[in-house]
Order: sequence, then structure tokens, then C-alpha cells
Amino acid sequence: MADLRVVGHSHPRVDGLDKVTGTARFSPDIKLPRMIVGKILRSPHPHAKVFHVDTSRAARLPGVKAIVTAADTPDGNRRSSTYQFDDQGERAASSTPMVMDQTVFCEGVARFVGDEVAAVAAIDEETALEALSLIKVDYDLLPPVFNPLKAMEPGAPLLHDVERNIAYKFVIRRGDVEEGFAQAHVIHEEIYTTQLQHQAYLGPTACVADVDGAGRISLWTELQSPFRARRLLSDMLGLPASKVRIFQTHVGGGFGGKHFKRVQPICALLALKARRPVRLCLTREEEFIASPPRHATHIRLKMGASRDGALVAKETYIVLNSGAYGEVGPIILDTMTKRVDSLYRFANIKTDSFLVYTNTVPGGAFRGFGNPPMDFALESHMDTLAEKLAMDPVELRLKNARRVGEVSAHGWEVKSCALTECIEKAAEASRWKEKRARAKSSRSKPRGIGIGCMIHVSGCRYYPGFYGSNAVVTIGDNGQVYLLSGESELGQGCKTVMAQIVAEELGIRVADIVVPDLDTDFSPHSLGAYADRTTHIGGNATRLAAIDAKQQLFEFAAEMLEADPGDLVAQDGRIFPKGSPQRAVTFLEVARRSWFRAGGKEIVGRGSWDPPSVPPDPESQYGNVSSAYTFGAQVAEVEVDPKTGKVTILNFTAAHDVGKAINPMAVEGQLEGALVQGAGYGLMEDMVGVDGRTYNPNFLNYRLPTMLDIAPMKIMMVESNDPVGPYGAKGVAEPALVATAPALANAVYHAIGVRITSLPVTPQKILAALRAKEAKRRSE
Amino acid sequence: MKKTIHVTLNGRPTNLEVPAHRLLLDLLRDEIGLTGTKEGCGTGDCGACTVLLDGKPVNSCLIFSGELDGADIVTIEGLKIGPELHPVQKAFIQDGGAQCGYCTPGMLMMAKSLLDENPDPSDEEIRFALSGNLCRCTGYAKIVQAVQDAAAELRAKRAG
Ligand code: FES
Ligand code: FES
Repeated sequence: MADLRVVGHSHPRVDGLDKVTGTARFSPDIKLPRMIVGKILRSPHPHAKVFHVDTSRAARLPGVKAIVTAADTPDGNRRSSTYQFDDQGERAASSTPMVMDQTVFCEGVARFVGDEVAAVAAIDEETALEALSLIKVDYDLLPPVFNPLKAMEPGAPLLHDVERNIAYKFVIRRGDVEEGFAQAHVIHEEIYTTQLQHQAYLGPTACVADVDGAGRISLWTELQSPFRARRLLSDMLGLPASKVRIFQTHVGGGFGGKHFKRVQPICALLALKARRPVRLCLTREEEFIASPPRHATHIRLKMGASRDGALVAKETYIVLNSGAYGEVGPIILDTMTKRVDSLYRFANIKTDSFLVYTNTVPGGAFRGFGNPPMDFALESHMDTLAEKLAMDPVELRLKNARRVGEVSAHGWEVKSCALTECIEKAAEASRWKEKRARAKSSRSKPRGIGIGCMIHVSGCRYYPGFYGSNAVVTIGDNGQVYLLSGESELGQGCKTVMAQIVAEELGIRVADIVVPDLDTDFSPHSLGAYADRTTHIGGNATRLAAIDAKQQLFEFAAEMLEADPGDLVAQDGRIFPKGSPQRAVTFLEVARRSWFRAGGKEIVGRGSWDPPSVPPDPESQYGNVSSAYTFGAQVAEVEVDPKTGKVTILNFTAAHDVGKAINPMAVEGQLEGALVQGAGYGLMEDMVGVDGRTYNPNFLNYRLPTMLDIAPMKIMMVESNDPVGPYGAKGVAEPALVATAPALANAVYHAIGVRITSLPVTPQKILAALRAKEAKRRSE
Repeated sequence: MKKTIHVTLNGRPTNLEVPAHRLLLDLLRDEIGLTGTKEGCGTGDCGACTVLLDGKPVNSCLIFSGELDGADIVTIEGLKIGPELHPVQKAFIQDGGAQCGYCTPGMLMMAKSLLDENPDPSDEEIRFALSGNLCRCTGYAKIVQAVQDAAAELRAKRAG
């Protein structure tokens, strides 16, 4: 693939002009004639029976056009926030990790502060808010439970009809852990905890819904999986799928937080009732209190290593705080339970993991999907093991690193892997050896350097049905090319990457390609943006569609050139027989001919690609879930002020196996953005809950990293050229966040010798740990 | 209570009838239809709603319309210089300074106001000036780079 002309070269975003001029329309920007405003009434109680919802006074308020409650939802609106399908498109609930525990509005019982009880639509926001205050809800308070460990105890209040509040669990056994521990030279056990982290996309979630005369509903909204949302909506509204249409607007960031939410069905119900367009936009506070953030976790980890550093046993106990509902918790639990086991060459594994209901905000998907908390535990643990073995942490990782061609304990087939190279490159570029050996005591603010490694997927199959992507490439009357993809542009740049792929195959410029916004009436079906599947899977489908279009175009070119279509080459806007560029016709001439000549046709290229992955066996949980695994290593250097506990990041060095960077600038942007989110997770971000109430539901008190918090980032893209990915590409958006928190925590340990086992690593925790260390030293 | 105010909006003198308590952000977005200015928080904590008021950057979610009589307001829709993109807009495209683009209008207005005052800022100065503008996507590095590149282009233009 030496002579790639577009793929592999940085290209500015195809929607960049729209984004910098203010013309890009996001969901809160959509305005329709006669549009009215929706607002949601939420439970103020963490756990309460909802006896009666009296809307009569609100309904009499002038300007109120619709009020909806659970009574307005069709029967059978129980739902999961995700569906996983079998071959017939039935919900594969029995064999895949999923729970069906939600309704559009909470019915009978409110289970967290923020649970949706009712909604109104009125002529303006003031009227809608006044109407909410006039709705009278009779609550009967129930005892709440907030701590998942308490929620599992006998006698704890139950949220749903499940024993010990356990929504889902995994029991995994591989090899023989007892035997493994028996062989171990060192064993270490520790409990790690991690916090709620909010996606905090800058663009709030909004939806505009409109119903036409035939009862067909259209929604303008921001979704990571519009096709799945169409199915969920049609189920929940009791409408056939043909009556639901979704237009994707520009998306103001997603990071896992813009999967299907209650916003869309509630907005649709309001529009159906009011028979007017309705806009429902969450406030920032609502985003914080009621949009599923990254779960809080409790992890007990025990690992053993032999004298030479080989990891001989791993035993893990995980409690994932689900909050009030399951959401996508079961598959996040799956990720926490299994993913890191394929990073190193573990053979003896014992894991018990639980998803547990509590009366707190339901957790959901967030970049990394269960991987970041578990990787924090594992990679912190690796450092401690290295210390016990008197080994360099880099050496210990290299000793155990996954290698290409191996099959992991869970059946994951590693077809490309540059983990070793990533570790070596990150260590070298960060001057690891030199900085690790540096004397620390001389500084008033000690410096430290730490490493974290990670593994991730490029798409992850949890169920037997279609997990692929479809794409269509058409060629217009003036040589302009349209690319229709069902994959979601969230800002990550997939429109540009897909356009580059089409340009590469058709031998044209990216500027000649139009990438329309997704519309479920016209766009081909794809699963959407999650699990790092878009480029790897959607890119393959797009490439096939472009090749199909090219072959059709070559038929017309062959007529003009009197050549064999199989001999033609498309390059730099021209088509010619291989080896005879002087005989070229232009792409434009051929496109025009296909469109205009008698007996011509519109060229429509089709591409479908379903990855060669398999869902885990429901019993053994064994199976090659992804067609490509990604790896990376990150080194963080920090300075810690022992007087204040403040951690200053000095620099990051991140080496990631991206397979192949189709758009290097965009890949770099993904890695930089993820590193900073990872730094937020590691050091500062924390949704503080007190008795089920979110204490800091705003950007003043929930602190995101700002420009003042960033440090130089050295990004290294290692290209392992995956045999399955398009041009060798693997997913890149999620991995870079996974290893950041442990790299930081390990650097803090290296700097001041205290290990913080709970995220985020705050000044308060550091000071407390330093005091405890000092007290211990004195007492000895 | 409605009030009539005279403002210059993106270079054009304009008369507006506004409820005095209407926020500038809502006035721009809902009544005038200039939706380029974004609301990320509504509480003055994210900078997505930044516009220039009499040449100075402000959070439009915190300004009441009633106070605006005689004001000169520039929004993202008025950032172009004639038909040309402002150098900072060009640089954001070229350097990858925008991902989802939701913070971008606010960032651009803040960057323009910085460059108006300081044509040759250091990275530190850029980070300080833009620190009230949150971005969740980019990790900021490419934004700092874009502002530097725009500054260089502006300086070259002035010199040439
Ligand atoms: S919307 Fe004004 S500062 Fe966030
Ligand atoms: S580009 Fe998305 S918030 Fe800045």
C-alpha cells in the first residue's frame, strides 16, 4: 500500500467550514414553524412510590399544549436502552448481556433523583416551567440504598424484582488460580475504587419532534446509533418503524453519552399529543443529574507473579454501581470483567463481577466502556508487583505483553499487535530509564514518571445478529460523488475519513465528495459510533461501496477507451488502462456519460461488511469478540507539591497501535482529546453524590480540564497494519483514555511514594496518604 | 416589559424590541435566529456563548438585553472579514482545532479578541486568555496551535 494518495495523509475535516462559521446546526438550533417547548418533571426523591400524578391544574394553564405521563405511553414500553439482536431481529435478551428494566416514564416507583415522572409542552419555556410546578405528584417515600455493597446485603431495599439488587453478573474461570498462586513468588491484593465521571459533552442533548398529517413522526436529534434509536422508538411509541424518521444534526460531542435516552421518546410523545413540533433540550443540570455517566466501581484485585515476573494468577471481584437502571451496564460489566485479561498473557483467571442497582443516577457508556476503571486497577497493581519483584515496571510489562498471533484466555485472536513496540517507544521517547533513576529527594516538589498500558477493541460483538455496516456511493451528473453511510459523525471526524477512503478508491479529491447528514429514510443501515467500530467496520463497508461504484464506472470508461474494464486504473481524476496513462479519459467525462448517455444509469455502489467476530458463548464466555484489538502505552511525568498535594502534569508520551492512521491529524486529535479526558478522570473529575443527590451538577463545581491544565503531549502512532481493517486501520478514539489515569497514579507514586487507590487522585487524598505514611514512619 | 434598543449587530445598525429580561444569548438565538452562538451551560462557566460586546468578550448567557442600548455586538456570524474567513477560522480548519465544533464559535470569538489586543501571544498567554472556554473534544493542543498560526498570518498581513 505504498502508493496511497489520500488515505494516510492528514486532511482537514470536510465539515470544517460549517463548524467555524456558526452555520453548523446542532439539535438545540433546530427551529420549526409553530414549534413549542418541552420540559420534564423529575422525581426529587431517590426512592419513592409514585401514587398519583395530578396534571389537571397544569392542563388549565393558558399556553400549555400537552402533558404526558406514564399513562400516555403505550403498553409494553419496558425497555433496555440498547437492543441486541439475533438473526431474526428479535431481542436476544436471553443469550446476551442485557436487562429490560426501564420505561419511558418511571411507572409506580421513582428510583433516583431525576427519574422522569411527567413532561409538558407549552408555548414558551416560562409557561412550561410554570406548568411543571402545577403538576401534583403524590409520593410515598421508600427507604433508599446508595452504596452498592450495602445494596447486595440481605434485607437491603430492593429497586427491582431481583435478588440482592444484582442486575447482572459474570462468573469467569480460566485455568487454575489456586495452582497459579501456589507458584507465585509475590502476591499482591488491593481494593480500588473509581468515581462517576460525566461525559460532559459541550453540546447538550436536544430533540425536535414533528408529526405530519399521516401520523409519521420526524425527529431532529443527536444520536450515536440512529438506526437502533429508530427501532427503540417505534417499539416504545407503538408505531411501525416506517412511521419514525430520524435526522441526525451536528452532534455536540458524545463520548458514549448520546446513545438513546428518554429525551427522544418523551419529545415524540409530546409532539404526538400536541400535534405541533416540540423541542426538548436538557439543561446542563439535567445532563448531570439524569444522563448516564461512567459508573462508579469497586474492584478487589489479587495477582501473583513468578520470580521472573510472569503473571501466574489473577483473581478479581468487581461491583459496578448500576444506579437505578441497567442501561448498557451488562455489557460494560462484560468489558470490565474480561478485557484487560487479553492485555497480558494471563492463563489462570478467576473473576466474579456484579452489576448492582442503587438509588443513584444510572451509569452508562463513556469512552472506554468499563475498561478505564479496570485498567486503573490492573496497571496500578502491575506497578506494585514490579516493586515487590524489584523489577522495572516497563520490564514487567514487556515480559508479559500480548503478542501478535496469540489467542488469549478468552479466545481473542490477536491478528495485529504492536504493544511491545508501543511500550518501548513510549519509554524511549519519555527518557524513562533516566527519569526513573533520578534522585527525587533533592526537589521541594518531587517529580515522578509512570506508565500505563491498555488493550481495546475495534467493535465488540455481544450478540449473534448483524454487527456490520452498510454504505452507498453514488456518482452524480457533474462527477460529484455522494457517500451515504449509516455511521454517526460525532465530531470524531468519520465523515472525513470515509470521504478519504472513497477519494482513494475512485482516484478523485476529497473536495469532490459530498457526505450528507444521516437520515434514517435514506442512509444505509449501520450500527453507529461505539466500541471503536466506526472506522474499522464502517470504513470497510465504505471501501467496498466505492470499489463497487468504481467497477460500474469502469464499464462506461471501457466503452470510451475500448479497453477491458478489468484493466483500468482510476487516479488523479483520470481513468486509463494500466500502464498507459496517456490514453486517459477524465473521471468527469465518464461520470457524465454514465448519467446522460441513452441507456446509461445512475451509478450506485453498495458495500456491506460484517466483521469476522463471534459473540461470547453464553456459558463459557469464550469467543473472539472483535476483528481487531488495539494496544497502547502511555507515560506521564508529574510534579507533586507535598505541602498542598497538588499534582502538576509535566508531559505525556503516548504510543498507540492504531493499525493505520487514515487521517493522521484526526487520529492525533482523538488521542490528545482522550488524554485530556483521561487526565480529568485521573486527577479531578468527580460527580459527588450525597444521599442520592448530585452535589455538583454544573461546570463550576464539576471541574473539567481547561487550557491551563494541559501539558505537552507527545503522540506516537504505531502502525501495525491490521490484516482485517480498511488499509490496516483499527479503532482509535477510546483507547487513549484507558491508560491515562493509571499512568498518572503510578507517576504520583514514583514521585512521593504514596499509592492512591481511588480515583480521582486529588490533593486531599495525597495529603491524607502522606500524613498516614509519616505517622507510620514515626511509630516504627 | 418590552423595550426598544438600538444596537450595531455584526456591523449593521439594528433596532430591536426586546423584553428587558431576555438574555442576550436567547435574543440572538431565538429572536434574531443567529444560532451560531451556543449555550453550553447557561451559567457563565463554559464560554460557548462568547460574543464581543463593544470589542470585549462576554458570556452572552449572563447579559440582559435591556442593558444593550447603543452596544456594538459581534457574533460568530460576523467574524468573517467581508467574504473572507478570518485567519483564526482558517487556522481552526487547517490545524484540526474543531472536532464536534460546539465550543468553536466561543473559542473563535475569544481568540479574535485576544489577537486584537495581543498580535504576538505566547502559548502561555493563549492558554490563559482561552482558559474560560471549555472544550471536551480536542484536548486543546490543536486550538493553541491554530491561534498561533492565525497570529502569524495576521502579523504577515499587517507587515505586507
Ligand atoms: S453558555 Fe454562557 S458560559 Fe456557558
Ligand atoms: S470541539 Fe467539541 S467541545 Fe470543543
